[in-house]
Amino acid sequence: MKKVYIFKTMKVIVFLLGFYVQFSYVSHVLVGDTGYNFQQSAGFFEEPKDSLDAVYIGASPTFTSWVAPLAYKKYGITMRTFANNAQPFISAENLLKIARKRQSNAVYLIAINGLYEKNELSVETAHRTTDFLPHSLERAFLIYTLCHGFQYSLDEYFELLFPIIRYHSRWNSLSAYFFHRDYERTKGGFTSSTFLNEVENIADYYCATTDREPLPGFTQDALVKLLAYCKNENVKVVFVLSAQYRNAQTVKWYNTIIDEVKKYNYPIINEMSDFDEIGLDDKTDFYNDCHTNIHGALKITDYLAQYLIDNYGFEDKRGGTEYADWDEAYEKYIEIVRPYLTEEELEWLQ
Amino acid sequence: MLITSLPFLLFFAATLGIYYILPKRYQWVGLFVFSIAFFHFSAADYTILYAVAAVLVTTLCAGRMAKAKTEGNSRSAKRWLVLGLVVNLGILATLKYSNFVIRNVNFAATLAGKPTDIPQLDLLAPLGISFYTMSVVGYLLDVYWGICPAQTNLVKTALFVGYWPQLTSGPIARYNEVREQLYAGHKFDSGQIAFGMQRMLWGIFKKLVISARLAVVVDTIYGDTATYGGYYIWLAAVLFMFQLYTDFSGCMDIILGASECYGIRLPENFRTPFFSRSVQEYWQRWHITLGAWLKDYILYPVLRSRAWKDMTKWIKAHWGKKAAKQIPSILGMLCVWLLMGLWHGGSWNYVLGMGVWFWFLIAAAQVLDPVFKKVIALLKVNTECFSWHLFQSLRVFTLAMIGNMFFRLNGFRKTLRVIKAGLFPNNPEIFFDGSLFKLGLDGPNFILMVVSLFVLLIVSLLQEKDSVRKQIARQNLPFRWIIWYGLIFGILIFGMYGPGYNAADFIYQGF
Amino acid sequence: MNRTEIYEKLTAVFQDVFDDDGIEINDSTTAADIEDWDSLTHIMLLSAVEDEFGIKFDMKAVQGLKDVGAMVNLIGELLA
Repeated sequence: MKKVYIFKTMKVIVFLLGFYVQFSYVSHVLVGDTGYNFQQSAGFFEEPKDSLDAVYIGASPTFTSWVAPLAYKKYGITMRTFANNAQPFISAENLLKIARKRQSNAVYLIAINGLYEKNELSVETAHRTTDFLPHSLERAFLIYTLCHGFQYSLDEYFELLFPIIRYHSRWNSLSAYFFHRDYERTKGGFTSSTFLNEVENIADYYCATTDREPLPGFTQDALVKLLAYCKNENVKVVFVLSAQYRNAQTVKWYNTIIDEVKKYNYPIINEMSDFDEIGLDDKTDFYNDCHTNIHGALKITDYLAQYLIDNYGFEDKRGGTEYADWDEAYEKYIEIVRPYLTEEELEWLQ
Repeated sequence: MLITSLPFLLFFAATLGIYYILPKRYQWVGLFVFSIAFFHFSAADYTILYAVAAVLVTTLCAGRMAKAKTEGNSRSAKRWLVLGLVVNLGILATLKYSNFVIRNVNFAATLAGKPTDIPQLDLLAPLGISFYTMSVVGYLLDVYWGICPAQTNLVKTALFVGYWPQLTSGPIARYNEVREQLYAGHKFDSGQIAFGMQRMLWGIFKKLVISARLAVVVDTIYGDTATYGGYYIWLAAVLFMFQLYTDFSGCMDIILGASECYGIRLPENFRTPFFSRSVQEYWQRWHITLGAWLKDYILYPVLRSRAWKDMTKWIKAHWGKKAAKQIPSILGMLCVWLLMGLWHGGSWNYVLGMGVWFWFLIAAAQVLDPVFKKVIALLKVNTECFSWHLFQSLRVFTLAMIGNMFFRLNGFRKTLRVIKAGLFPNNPEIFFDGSLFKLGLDGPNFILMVVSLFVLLIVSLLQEKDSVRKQIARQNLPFRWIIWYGLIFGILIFGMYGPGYNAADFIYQGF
Repeated sequence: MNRTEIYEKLTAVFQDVFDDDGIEINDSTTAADIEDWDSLTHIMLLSAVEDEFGIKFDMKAVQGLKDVGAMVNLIGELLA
């Protein structure tokens, strides 16, 4: 009798395992945005464990201001972004936990970005943050935070938890791309043509204010929890205010956050107040009011990299065989961006 | 709570776990609690009061009736029966048919020259009232006729009335069929649970992959019959038959499969109805429990009543034996079919389209039977071959399809207009010029719809031989597992659920 | 009345109701065996049997009779 039970239970377990394997494959094909969100978000999990010096968590200003392969070429540091379009700030803590499972010794840069009112972030956008994360308890907590903060319905909650619900209807327009989703292998180095090509004079958008504005309740809670977590876990964290020209309310929120962070004595890199020191030019280095283009990105990359090396003493990893993939990433990336770089920038790279 | 939704599956899984942890003596109590929970998640809470009233009155009347019968007091028993019937049917009639009465009163008054404008009521009915009322009425009559014992326990009666799998859309079970199973303890049987879940899987596939997809095309065409005339109308009519079938029978599969997991077998409601060869047979294979209920609780009592027996004698004396054989039963059937139509909805398109139309077909078939036999003999038609059976099935399908147009189009005159719109424009080109891919389903989806109908056909053909699950269980493991994985991923990938799809509200759920 | 006599009378009723003088019945005959015996003619049959034997079936019997054998038994009981 016992034998029969064991056999039956084994069959059930094997069936479920078989389901899990197939489900993972189906999800991999169907789920998630195409294009650069895949590179940025899923790409992070491609990195071998404990191979990164630093991780930069944030939204689109993050991956349009840090050029990982070029930083590696110049300084030999391995730091990449773990960022996504419109990634909300309240997701930082959960993302930090998820990232630390793979890169436990890295320095974490957290962008002060992605602040919204409680009904301002659509579910579709929220999906970008969660779709490519491997299923885990942490991911479930992240989704709970997002649903609670942005007041998503129960249906939307399930949809975030099991994105196949949202994406399964794509089956009728699958192309080869979906079956061969490949990493660009540029370590998150951004390659969009807007980023490489366009320039906008954003001098007129500038809004300087030193006022503070109380954060929406759910954001304040998330901020406090994030800071407490970093303190309890002794995370090496640096907060970064990206170079961007936002409206008055957003700048006031940023100021409030900076105040709060200062209470914990965490380092803050304020790219707005360090604007001139970084060497940024609001007429040539941006492609819109909150994103640097390749030129602005190079300057910020240089600045951040030097800061990190001075304060955290990373080893120079160039030349070793262990980091050959970074060399490859550089080779690939430079081929793509070389036509857009100025003489000076190319020289800087040598 | 939609029975094809994730919350429902979680609910069901939870009830299953709790059910088999409970000691066998209390499993039925667990079912009662689950039923209350299901009601809460599916309907406005206050409407449960109607169901509570039904349970209280039914328990009282059944108990008193049984007592009166053992004492030989048949008049008292009859009074208790009448009370039980009046209260239950009264609640149903008030909640579901007041507006029908009001509309007809207004109309008649206008015709008589004294127009009234009684406003229609906006009453919310409890989940499953059309179904559980039938069960309850059947139960009271069965107790009165001595067919089943009365249930004296209030909670047990409540479980019979409100057993959650039946609350959505039936089946209408007889007390005798379920009483032993419902209150007994059930041992955990992995084979039975596997079978139950397999059936649920097939039901979900039918609803989400087949029915929901058909609904898109049907709704597009019927939503704009001015643009989509001619052959479009008939395409919609045909597809609607399959939509309704897969929707309703899919629901039954989910419900019967779920109940089977508890070890409780509810009666079947469908038996591959499109293979029927006569309209009469069709109604023995479509919504079986409703037809059986009408037969046992309306038709038989009517035909055996004093009035009918007297009428039969009179007809035999005046119009001969043949008339006496046919007319009383045809009139009896009229009562049944009027009720059948009325049960589907309080409006004339249901009474006429789902009621009178089918009555007419069955009565005509009966009366013209000798004529048909003569024609068949004359034309030397072979009635034992596949082509004849196919012809019969197609004939039944077409006739039922017309009745169902009245059901779907929700308005007697509207349906007639649509039928007219289907007769005039002559546009067979729509089948060849790609127009079919512009009805809300793109190419791949349309093809998938057709393929899924073939899958349905194959499964239906297999069902004629033996339970398909048993047939599959006899095969080797890799083949079985391919089928189950195929169904699961078929639903996950091709199911029409999630954002962007309208929650295909199950058609019979509003009853 | 014994079973044989019942069968004699019953056969006559069957032949009359189904308009077929060649009908033969036995204990295991059911509705499946006679072409026109469906739910409608069932009632006519029972009414005819009631009239012929001067008995009355109750609703329990009407719903529950499985085959001719059961019918004959019931007729026998009711006549006794």
